[in-house]
Amino acid sequence: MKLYYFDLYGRGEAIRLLLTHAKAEWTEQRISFEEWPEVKTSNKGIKFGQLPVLEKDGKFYAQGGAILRYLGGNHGYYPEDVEERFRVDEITDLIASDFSPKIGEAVFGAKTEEEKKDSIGKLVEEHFPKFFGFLEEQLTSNSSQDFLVGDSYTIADFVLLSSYIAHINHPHRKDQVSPLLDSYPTLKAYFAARTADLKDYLDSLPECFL
Amino acid sequence: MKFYYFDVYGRGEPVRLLLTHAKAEWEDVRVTGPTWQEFKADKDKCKYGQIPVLERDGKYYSQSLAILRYVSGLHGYYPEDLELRFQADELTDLIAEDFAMTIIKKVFFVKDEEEKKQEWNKLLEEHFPKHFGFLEEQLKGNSSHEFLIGDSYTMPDFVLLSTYISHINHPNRKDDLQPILENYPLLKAYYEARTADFKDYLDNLPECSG
Repeated sequence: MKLYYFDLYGRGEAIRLLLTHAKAEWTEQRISFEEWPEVKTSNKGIKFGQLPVLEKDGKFYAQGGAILRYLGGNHGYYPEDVEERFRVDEITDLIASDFSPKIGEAVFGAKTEEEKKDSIGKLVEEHFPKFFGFLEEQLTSNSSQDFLVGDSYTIADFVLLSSYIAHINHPHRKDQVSPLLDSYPTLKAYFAARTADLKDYLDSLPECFL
Repeated sequence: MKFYYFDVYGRGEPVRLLLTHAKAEWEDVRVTGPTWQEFKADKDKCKYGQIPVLERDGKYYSQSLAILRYVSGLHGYYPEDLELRFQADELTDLIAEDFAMTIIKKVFFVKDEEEKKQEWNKLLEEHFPKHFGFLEEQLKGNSSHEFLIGDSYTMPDFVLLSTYISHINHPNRKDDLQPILENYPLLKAYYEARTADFKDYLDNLPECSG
């Protein structure tokens, strides 16, 4: 199995976290922005002109969310029960589609460090507290406070953890963002516990700007 | 079952189409103005302050694609086989996010009329042909050219059909798009055949801006 993605956390990190936790056999190719135009046209597996793409047994799988659900299904991180699966989809989409992109836009859109600090600062006032509140609610109303849905890892946890890495605990942003967590004790404890599970991986994490 | 959404096609139409095809018992609740403010303020019904929301057996389900996957699972439109299920997820994300949301963000959300026109023309030159091409490929490679996956309706068919309603056949856009569609014969035939299945629904379709 081979994951093709940029040298970013972005839409690839949740997949990396899942494969790491699953102790799956996998490799990756991190594609630089310089190489990308060439790779995009030469690699026929990149069927929609985008990354991430997963290569498995000679077949190519595109669309980050679809890849995550596929691997989730294969490794026991995506429920079969329709009601429980819905709860995983709902919180996963909230994080991936409503929470994360605004932060990515703030980082990508800023032309200077000053601008970036300003943009993140604005998000710290409203956006982060709003979503930390939703996540705190999800954890406290779940059967276990240790996971987002049910009592073990699902794809939702990998998506949230990737956001922790890229946005909340990122060296460039943690001073602004992580103090907020003190107001969300269950979420704070969740991050402490789940990142402890992935300690070795996180200790060796390459630093990416997003 | 009640489906709450604005009086637009937008992110709600795929679910409306699915429930119609499934001949499910459901109420199409179109939320506007003051009723929206009231609904939004109800934290039990509108957990994240957004719609669409599905109400079923006293429970409330949010996030448009999570809802779509849920009703797909309930009514047999979400494949059991992991490989086919992956295809359903991949195509759904491609059409709903990459194809449809791009149009909404680049054109519908733009206020300046001149900019809106320019962006629309860019989409006509690149975005629509690119995505029609992907879909033509998918239909060509499928065992049946009549559906996106396999030989019956699955989740992505409803998302694709909603693009017919929102764009291909929309009074404000059909003159621009139908000529482009001529270059994609399988896709054209697909739209003709699948919309014939929905004749009564489409004959009574409320007219919305998008």
